[in-house]
Amino acid sequence: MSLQIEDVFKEMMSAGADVFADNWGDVSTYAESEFRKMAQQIVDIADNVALNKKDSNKGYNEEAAKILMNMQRLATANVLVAMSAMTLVTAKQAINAMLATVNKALGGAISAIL
Amino acid sequence: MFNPLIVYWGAKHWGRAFLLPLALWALLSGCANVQLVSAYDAQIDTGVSRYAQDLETYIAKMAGLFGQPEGAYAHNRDFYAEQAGRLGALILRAEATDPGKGCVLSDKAAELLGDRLPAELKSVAKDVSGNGDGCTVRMLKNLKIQLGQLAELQKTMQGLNSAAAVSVLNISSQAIRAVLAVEALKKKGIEG
Repeated sequence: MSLQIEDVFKEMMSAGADVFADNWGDVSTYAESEFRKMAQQIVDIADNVALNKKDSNKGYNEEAAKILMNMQRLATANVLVAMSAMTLVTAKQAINAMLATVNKALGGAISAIL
Repeated sequence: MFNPLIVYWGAKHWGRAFLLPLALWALLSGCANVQLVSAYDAQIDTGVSRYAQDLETYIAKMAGLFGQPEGAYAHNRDFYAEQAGRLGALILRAEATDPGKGCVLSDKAAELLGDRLPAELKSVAKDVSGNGDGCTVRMLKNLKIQLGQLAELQKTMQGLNSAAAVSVLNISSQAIRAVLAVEALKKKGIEG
């Protein structure tokens, strides 16, 4: 069974939109680019194992592929963590911008009363 | 200082239009700068960028030396020790500035993904909130674990052939880019 990049990519995008729901808009550009690379890398690993089975001088064997898949899992975890961090950074920046505006607009007038 | 009586007085005399901004200001003025994630850190940014450069150079060099003793893990232990030390220092630095709130949405992401998340990734994702690591700390720790996996690969293959080098470079770059993307966003917030 050959892995198709577009199929893997679509699955990832669908899961990502589901998981990040309301925050999807903040991270979708980054996610789309990284999910596509992720799908490509997973397919490449499978292709290299298939190549190695035909010619041992090409690609790499299953043992190496297993290690590379573990490396890919950590890269995937980092992308998910980064997406989470991005939503937090965006939230933090929005809240701080709002605080600054409220303080600027009302601070002078109200601080005298309080 | 926040005084509910004054807010009540303001509402009664100046109407609701005054109440909302006053209540907002009174409630929020105590938190001049909300800290949901660690602040931008130029040293983490440059440290991780330097790690990326060194790793890319190393991988290209190893691919060229495949099949020779110089391309084997045994001849390159110093590289791994040096880079592990560098990442360890960055982790310590990130831990020092971690607001201690964990990587909240990763926990939610792991929960929502449920069975669709591979077991290995599930434990990694769970660990994110389980031990209260901040997002940057978690990502840096993952880079260090990944470096160990690269060493394991080089031992297994007795070097790195060109096909493995390409895969390693793409995968490592993705993990590194995640850290840099978050730092870039934090930096943009400071400059913006």
